Amino acid sequence: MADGGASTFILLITALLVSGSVSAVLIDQWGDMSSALEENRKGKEADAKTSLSFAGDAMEVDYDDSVNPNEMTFYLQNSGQYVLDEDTLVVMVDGVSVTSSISATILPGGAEWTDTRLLEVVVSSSSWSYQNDDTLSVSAVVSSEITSGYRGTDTMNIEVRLDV
Amino acid sequence: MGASVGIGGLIIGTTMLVVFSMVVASIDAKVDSSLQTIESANEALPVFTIDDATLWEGAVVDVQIGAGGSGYTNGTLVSSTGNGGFSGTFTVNGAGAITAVAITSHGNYSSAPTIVVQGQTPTSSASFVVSIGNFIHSNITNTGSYITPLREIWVFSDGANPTNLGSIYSSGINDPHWYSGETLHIQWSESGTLPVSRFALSVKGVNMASSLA
Repeated sequence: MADGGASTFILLITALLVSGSVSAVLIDQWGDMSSALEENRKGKEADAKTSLSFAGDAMEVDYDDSVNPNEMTFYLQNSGQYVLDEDTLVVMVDGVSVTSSISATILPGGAEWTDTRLLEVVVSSSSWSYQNDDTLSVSAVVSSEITSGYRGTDTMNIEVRLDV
Repeated sequence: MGASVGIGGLIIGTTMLVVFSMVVASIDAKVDSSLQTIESANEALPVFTIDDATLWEGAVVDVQIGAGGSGYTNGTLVSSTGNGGFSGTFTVNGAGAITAVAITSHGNYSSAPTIVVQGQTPTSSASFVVSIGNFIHSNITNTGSYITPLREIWVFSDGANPTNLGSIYSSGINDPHWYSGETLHIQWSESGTLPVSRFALSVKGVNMASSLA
């Protein structure tokens, strides 16, 4: 009986140790999982709150062929909740990047491209020879300012008709 | 001994149950919180119609005071030439000289009208310098459920000259909004290249355009 009592006691202690170890491992894993979820949530939230849209009349995008290189002017609106970083703007016209020749002005004048504000974008290229009523594809990619440690990103694609 | 083993087993089982329930509850709360945050970012899109859009090419867009005159009291201005529909108001200083003019109806004329003070006999007459130009009138209706602050709305003529509606719509209300089912009559002078033929409205990524009658 005494032997049986001792072995039962050993089993009890072992069970306690095992359960404690399992609990510690579970709590540790839960902490990692929770952190991963939180990181993922913040990234998703930043993307969801970053939104870029074309603004104006896609049928009449201003194209100036009287200057060299030719210039195209269009407007982008911050339609999300995060402040956008106009310095990260990438523009493609008919699939070709024109990032090196972008002039961007926030309207109405301001230091930050906050929600509801417009960005007047003037892009140019010496390889363009578009005519009035030509249709082309304009794409833009922009990132938000860093908010809570994260940047959101959004893209915009639209077919436009030029007004020379 | 049997009782102590039983109690020990109960403690272990309860501990494990508590740990598991904590984990499940916490992960559940995190997932819920994530979904709510992401859903809250997806606001309803604005839905609206442009009921009509008209260009008045001879609207009175500016009235400057050439001579303020004297002997006036605050009153109204009308056009003495043409039937374009101009009206305005003015205010005077202590000597009865006109110091400020406000246009209440821009009208539409083929040439710049002569603006005069209505129904007053001054000591010395005032004169005005009138400019006419493009003026766009449009009725727009919010047909969706999204209540839109006017500062979020941009209007364009011929795809250019963006103008923030909050800066041109004078309702007398601070930070006015465009409510569901509400029709706004908006009007603004257009200083761009003559003549303009199209008018566009952009709200949070939703664009709509109309030809000008």
